Amino acid sequence: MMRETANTAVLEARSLSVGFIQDEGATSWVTQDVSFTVAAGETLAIVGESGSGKTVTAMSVLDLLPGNAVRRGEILFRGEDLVSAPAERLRRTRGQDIAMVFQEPMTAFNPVYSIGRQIADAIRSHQAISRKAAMERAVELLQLVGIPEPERRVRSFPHQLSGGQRQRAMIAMAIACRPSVLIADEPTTALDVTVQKEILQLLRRLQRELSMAIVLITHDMGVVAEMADRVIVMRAGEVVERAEVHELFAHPTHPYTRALLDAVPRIDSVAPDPVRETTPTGAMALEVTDLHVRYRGPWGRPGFLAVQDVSFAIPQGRMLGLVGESGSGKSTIGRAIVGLAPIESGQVRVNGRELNTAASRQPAEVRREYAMVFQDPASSLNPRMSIGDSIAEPLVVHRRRSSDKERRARVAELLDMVELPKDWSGRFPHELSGGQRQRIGIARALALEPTLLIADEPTSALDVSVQAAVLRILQELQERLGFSCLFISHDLAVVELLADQVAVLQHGRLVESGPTAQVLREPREDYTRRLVEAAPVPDPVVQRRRVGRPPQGTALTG
Amino acid sequence: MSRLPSLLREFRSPGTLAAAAFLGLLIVAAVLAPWVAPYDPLAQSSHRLLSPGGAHLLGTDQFGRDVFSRLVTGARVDLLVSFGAAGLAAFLGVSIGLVGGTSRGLVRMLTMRGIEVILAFPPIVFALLVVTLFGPGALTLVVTMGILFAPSFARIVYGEVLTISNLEYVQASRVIGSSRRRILGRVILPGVLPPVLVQLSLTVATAMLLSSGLSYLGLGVVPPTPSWGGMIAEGQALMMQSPLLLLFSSGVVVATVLCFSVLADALERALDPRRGRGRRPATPAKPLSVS
Repeated sequence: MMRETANTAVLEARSLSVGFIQDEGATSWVTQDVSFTVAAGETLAIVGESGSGKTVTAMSVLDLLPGNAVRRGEILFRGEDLVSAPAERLRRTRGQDIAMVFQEPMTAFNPVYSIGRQIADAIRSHQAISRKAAMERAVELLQLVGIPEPERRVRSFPHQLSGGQRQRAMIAMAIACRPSVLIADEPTTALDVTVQKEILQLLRRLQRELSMAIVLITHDMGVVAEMADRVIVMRAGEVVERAEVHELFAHPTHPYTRALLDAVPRIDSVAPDPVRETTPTGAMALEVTDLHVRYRGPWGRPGFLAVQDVSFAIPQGRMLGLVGESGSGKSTIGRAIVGLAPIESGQVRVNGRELNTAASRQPAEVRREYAMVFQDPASSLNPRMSIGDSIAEPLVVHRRRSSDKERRARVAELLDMVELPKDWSGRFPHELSGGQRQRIGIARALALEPTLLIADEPTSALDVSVQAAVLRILQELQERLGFSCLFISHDLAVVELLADQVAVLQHGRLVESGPTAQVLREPREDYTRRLVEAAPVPDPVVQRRRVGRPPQGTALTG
Repeated sequence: MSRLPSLLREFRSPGTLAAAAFLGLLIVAAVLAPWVAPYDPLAQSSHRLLSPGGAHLLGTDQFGRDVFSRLVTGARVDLLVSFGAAGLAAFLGVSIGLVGGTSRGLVRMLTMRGIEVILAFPPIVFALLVVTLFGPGALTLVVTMGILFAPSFARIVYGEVLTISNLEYVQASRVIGSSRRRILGRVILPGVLPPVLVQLSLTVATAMLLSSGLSYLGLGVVPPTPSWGGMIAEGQALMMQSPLLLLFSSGVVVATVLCFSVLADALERALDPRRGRGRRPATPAKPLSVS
């Protein structure tokens, strides 16, 4: 294999290091000696968690880094070094030979020009053709990437397209000049799983038709399993492992790779837990009946109806996973229960006690019953409060443990529960990592010993290895303290791991609900089935079978 | 929640210390003006336009009055007017901004549109109008400028409140059950303070200049009561014969404004826990440093 890739490599990096010149004049190197090759028609995945240097490596290929960046080593495109190449040569390479697809298609497009105009501009910067011809070519490209009604869509502005269509248009722009190499930086991270599935399919089809080499930057092991031929795993700026994809998943050699693979929850992994299957007896912690949530429009006019006709119940001590894609209303339901979104009609009962849905504030004794863990660890803690003060805030507001000493003791106890050092209470949020901040969020939520915890995508902003730790803590605490939990997530594998029951939402309506194993293994509804099928499994054999990709090994010979 | 230690730490920087020392001296001198000033600031003499040195530290003006005594006495009026006006403006503006930012519908419209009406007045014309109606004097100046400068505070606070209200930590506080007052005072207000402090230091400067300007136009402090603006006006008339008069009077204005800005910066730094602390988040990636 080494001989083969050496012969046909279109893009090769040799001991590539990227650094940034600091104010003091010293250079801090963020990646060290990264080497890789990628051949025509082949997909190389660069995998790593945040801060691993995978994006910096990808951006350095076309020198798209900030001005204070320095590159050391060689980047060979068809044998020509791009590190030492003059700026004009590099400009011609961009888009023409090596193209790029970015993570967030909304910000990667210029909002003031139509997408057709932007694709045409990309073509015209490399080929001397008329604007009219370029526009016609743009229509063809939009058709090629599967955008319906390309003649009409070519005049659309970025905000008029859905997220998936924008990413298709982005890909259309990238392949406009038939590049030999496509660098895709987390191309599906901002998209829902069903859309991700289509985009990955599209990338594979285009790769086949144009025999492109793809460098895929991703953190998602499921995407790697589906797409990659070869993989390099990065950590803290260095390559820790490189392997053929089946080899990597079957026999990871580096401990970090093994830990990373172990941390990824799999939708098809655990056998259904017989204990969880038993029908619960006893009272309900949360009952939601015929819930309608409508946001207020301007001047008090009725606005968007985000949730309609949703009913579900969580027995005491159990966890219900609320799943759905973006815009399905799953977060809105959680926010409505705690009073952050206006309930139009329907009942919400917490421990049998009906909430006054007309009021945005509930009496203190009701409010103590529930607590919320928020999604974004960066903004869910007050940056001006020490984490001890943040955890103690509910105690202060509800006048619990009124003496300072008692409060401090409780804060220490809560820090201990989420496995952080007790003496950290004087630290500030910016001194903590994302996972540590999210643990503080859990500690704050548990301060008043609530019987119902609402967790709104608590781990979606975290790396998988950190996510695994936070989920384990949440699970252990639930077992120990016996609270009930409404777990809101887009990630079916996470829900499968944690929840006893699942409710699936689409467009603000409940599609299906029931015991986790039943809903995710034998979905009754078409939409649930599509969701389950679209969630990638971190196993190349299984995942390729699921997406109907022929077994690997035939593509590269020759 | 005390930030006193970090505030003290800020005073280790020589710039902050110098600014604080200057302002402190100025305030003490202004308060104790009758005792600090070597001469009666209004007493005229035949020693006109003397150079600095000798019996008169900073010389005398065209009526033979001691310039140093006049500057010290003038500081009373100028500091009172500019700090008073900036303080009043900050109080009004922050209150209006907080109310406008946290309410909706009619209240929001009334507060924010009302602010825009005030903004539409050219400041000098508005001040002229009020002064003409109520007569010149320190109190009129304070109230006029307080109203004039309030809108910029209100707009800053309004914008910040809208941004901060959408952050999850504010919502987290609501879910906990914090009262509206607690959320406003303990959660949102500390977040909007840094830009308010910056605006405050700018406003003190602007107020000082505007009150000097109004005194210059004869609408502020009435002569012969010494004020910095009035002294700049007199100094300007004699710029060719005796440039030092202009230099001293405008010099104290510039120095005061500058020192106040430095102090406001230091205060802002001290209030922000993200600055001045050594500990960093525990990130797994360790940047490799090669010099």
